[in-house]
Amino acid sequence: MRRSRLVLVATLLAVVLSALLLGSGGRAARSAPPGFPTGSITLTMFGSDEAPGFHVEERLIAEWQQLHPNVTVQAQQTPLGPGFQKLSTQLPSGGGPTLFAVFEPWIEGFVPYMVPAIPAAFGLASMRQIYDLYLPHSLDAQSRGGAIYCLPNSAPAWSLLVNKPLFTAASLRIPEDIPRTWAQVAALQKKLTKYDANGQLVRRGFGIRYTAGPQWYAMLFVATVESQGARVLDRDGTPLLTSPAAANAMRVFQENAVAPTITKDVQTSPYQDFADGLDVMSYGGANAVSFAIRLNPDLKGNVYVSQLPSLSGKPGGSPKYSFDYCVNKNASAAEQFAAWSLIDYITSHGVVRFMNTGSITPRKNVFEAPEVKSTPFIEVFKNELIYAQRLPQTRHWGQLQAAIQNGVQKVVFKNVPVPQALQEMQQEYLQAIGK
Amino acid sequence: MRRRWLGPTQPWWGAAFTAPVLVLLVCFKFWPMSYAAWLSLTNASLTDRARRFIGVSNYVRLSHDTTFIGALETTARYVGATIAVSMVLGLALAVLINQKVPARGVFRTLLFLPAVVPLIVVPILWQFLFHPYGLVNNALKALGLHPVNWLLSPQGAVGALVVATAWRLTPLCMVIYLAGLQSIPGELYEAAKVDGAGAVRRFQSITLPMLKPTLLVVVVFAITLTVQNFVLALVMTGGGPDNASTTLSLFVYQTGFLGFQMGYASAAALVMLLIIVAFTVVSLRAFRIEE
Repeated sequence: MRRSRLVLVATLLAVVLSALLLGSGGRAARSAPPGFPTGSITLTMFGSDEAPGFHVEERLIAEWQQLHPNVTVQAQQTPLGPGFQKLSTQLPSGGGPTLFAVFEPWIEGFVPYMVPAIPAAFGLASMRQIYDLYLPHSLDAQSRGGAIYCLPNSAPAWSLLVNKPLFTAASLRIPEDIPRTWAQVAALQKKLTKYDANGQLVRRGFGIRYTAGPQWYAMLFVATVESQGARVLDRDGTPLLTSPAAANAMRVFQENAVAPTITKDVQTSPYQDFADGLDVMSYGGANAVSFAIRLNPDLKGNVYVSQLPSLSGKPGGSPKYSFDYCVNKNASAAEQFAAWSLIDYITSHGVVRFMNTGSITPRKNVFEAPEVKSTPFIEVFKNELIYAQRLPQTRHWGQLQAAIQNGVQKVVFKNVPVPQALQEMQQEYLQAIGK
Repeated sequence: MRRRWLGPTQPWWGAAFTAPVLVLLVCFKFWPMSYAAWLSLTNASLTDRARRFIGVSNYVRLSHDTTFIGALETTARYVGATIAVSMVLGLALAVLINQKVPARGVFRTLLFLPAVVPLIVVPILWQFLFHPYGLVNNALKALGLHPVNWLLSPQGAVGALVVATAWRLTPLCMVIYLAGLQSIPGELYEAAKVDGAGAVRRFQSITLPMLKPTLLVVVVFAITLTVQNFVLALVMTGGGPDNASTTLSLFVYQTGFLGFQMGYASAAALVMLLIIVAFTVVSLRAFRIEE
């Protein structure tokens, strides 16, 4: 009698535990996929560059290790810059961590040292089934020849962030007066920009980040060109930087430059001016709002998010990029399998990352979670992801970004005419790649 | 016989004691330098495992590369100004704190503090100080001068790098000078005083000549440190605006690690090395001491 009761309790516990595991997110939460390697395995990992993201990883790694007690994971938080330098030297020489996080433009350079996703590690039968876990086109940049080489842990596309109190204080209405085109942004600059009695800038309508790293305007330039149906590089990699579309993109910077030298935005704190209330409008991904609120808690509930302006007013003015997990080709087969299983586990728990960091993982199950669905403006962020322009896949992204940076700086800081700046930009890029 | 073989006068002791350092030098200095020299003759790229010998093509390309030539000019201005400021200011401070004044140890510690600030903190700190509405411009305004657009104008960016680098380098120069000053026999100054020599004359006729070996150390040290330094330019200005503050070391970093062109970057690094060697040789000749 007692024994049968024990069996009943054990069965009930097993059912409840299974239900909990199944309900907690992606496929990876269920159990170890068949074929998971046995024996002792050690995975080394270069993780996220920011503390909140890395804490999420540590938590998910600990959960995953409970499912795979034969695996030890040695993860370290890795700032992007130093991480890039280490990978640049370690991977070509046959070293490097088992799995590592990269910034999307690096994929083309590092792809020779990566191993494609192993569907069996996801408990799936084919690569196609991995694609099906994600939003349409969200793995374009991570794919080569139909194979997935990396999976995004965070995929920002930019939206327009508006400081509601400052916007409405200028007698502007939300959402009626929210700009949808860059021309409308330029028109609002005059209305929102203010100087104090000493002539010092105290408020600016919209600020472009010139001191927080070239990516903040190089990617905006690329997306503005591509939103017109044009390209910055042709299929052979030849630059198309003097096109009419490029000129239109450059004028966005020219017409929206308001006291561009007055800024406290730095690489480690790119949303500082928005958080300080210097910029009434700014731009960034879903994580930008939580980042700005961390800097200035008064912004909580006071940020309105809208589609990033474009030249035409249609969606698609934003660049799409990502921070991705990849697996080292130099790792053993068992390590590669385990590493992809871990990546599957972490990315299938995108909801945890979103709730803790505000970063969106473009995996479908994230957008189906009730806590994400109820997040303000989540549809805006999702829409941006779908329509945003992906970055050109080139081994020369560093040179392209530097050339665009210098071209924009010529126009904004040195008042060089747009056609001349574009011509010099084109020349600089060709020179930098040795053509 | 056995004791003699192990005796302290045996010549092989010298080799035994220098061998570990020599091994370290070969592994971590000479081998990487030789490898870089080899890479500079190839089309090595981080994105392509195959590499080809291309002779001096990278050097020919450098001679036409306007960004590289601009970086050379910027480096000359940056290094020249930084060394001038650091050496003069370092000497002045060393002479000052070599005097017998109360709380001399406290002054020495305070003046040396910038040298022990972590390198990455320096550019971030100065970014805030050089903000258009920051302390530096406020000080300029208080003196009746026009504020400067430090970080985002071609002239201001290099000036800002010079100030930030000199802030860190000056205390290091000061300490080396101080060691040199303390090795000058006090009797020389006393004899000069008896002969009626004033402070300026004593400085010109005793301090400067006696400091010649120290000056050589300071010059070589300052040139090497300044030419190689790229963290400040990377963080403070990113080499901008429009490459105005791209120094040679930053060019090497950007070409190698952002552009993946390791062969080309190695050629630029070799040119940088040759420049440092050339300046060191010139300094050695300029400060040569007659035995």
